Amino acid sequence: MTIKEMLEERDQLVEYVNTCELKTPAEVAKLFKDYTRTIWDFKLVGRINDFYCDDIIINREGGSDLVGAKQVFKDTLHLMAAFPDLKLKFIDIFAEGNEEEGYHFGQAIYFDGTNTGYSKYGPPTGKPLTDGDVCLGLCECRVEKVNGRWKIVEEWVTRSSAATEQTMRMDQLLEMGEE
Amino acid sequence: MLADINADKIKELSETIKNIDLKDKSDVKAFVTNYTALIYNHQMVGLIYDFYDENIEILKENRIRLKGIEAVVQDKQVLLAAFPDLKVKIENIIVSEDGNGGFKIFRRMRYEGTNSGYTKFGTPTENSLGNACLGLSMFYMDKKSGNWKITHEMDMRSTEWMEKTMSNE
Repeated sequence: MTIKEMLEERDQLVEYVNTCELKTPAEVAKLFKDYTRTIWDFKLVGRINDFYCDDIIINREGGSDLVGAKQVFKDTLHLMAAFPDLKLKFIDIFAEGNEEEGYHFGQAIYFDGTNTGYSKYGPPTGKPLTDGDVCLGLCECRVEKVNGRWKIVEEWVTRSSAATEQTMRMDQLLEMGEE
Repeated sequence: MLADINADKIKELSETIKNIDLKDKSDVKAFVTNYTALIYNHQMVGLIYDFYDENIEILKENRIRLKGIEAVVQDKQVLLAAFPDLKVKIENIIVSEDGNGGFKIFRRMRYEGTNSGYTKFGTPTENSLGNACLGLSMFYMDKKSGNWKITHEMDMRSTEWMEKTMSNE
């Protein structure tokens, strides 16, 4: 894909994100698919501001919950820096709800990329995230209008944390080499 | 007697999922609620054979893939053996029609229980899962040969948290 083609695809997604009014569950599903790809595949990280609430609650595995959009930025930037070729692959997304009460959507995704950047675990390992099978991620989001704008106000997330961490750990490679 | 209460509850729930005909989203939500309660809260693991496609593959956390119905049964048995008092609480269910007569379901729930059974980590720790153990799954239901079956699934739970609960490290 050329840069021109890439930008055309990106602009189509951005256009939908900018104009979608979230009138139906189907629109909500398409919007958040396009929005997520805008951030991850096209690296428009600042657009996290569009739909994440300042005081969003992120319920994670094992009770290590996060509060605040700043944490979303931090997590996103860390993963992107560690996997510069990172692409987000959607398996499915669908929603329920209405304009009055808000919406819930559920999505299944996996990340595809190679650890060629430094991470909090050390230097790059050169290992791919999709190594034998996919690193699955599931999440559910509650979307409501806050001050007249649609926002994700709460999120529940499960990630393949152990496998993702293993991909970034050089000591795992050294251990394998010693065996 | 508690056993009688449980026996009656199992019969009551089993009746609701017998010969089910899923016509709309509310049918699906009722089925998922009762079926989940039977499998986890009442240890009716064998009901997996009724509602899972024989050749199902389930994508799980950390690149794990369960292949075939026996692997699904084994996965649940291992969990219940580790936490014999396991209870799950469903927090939300999202249902969407798939456009071909089937349904897509997203389920969020919490696992609660105590590690009082032996596991691959060793002897029981008697540690509690607390209320922090999150479980998310997305699955599809379709009618196959006249019966409703779960044909695809992606299922994740707080594995690291569970392993921490089961190990004394």
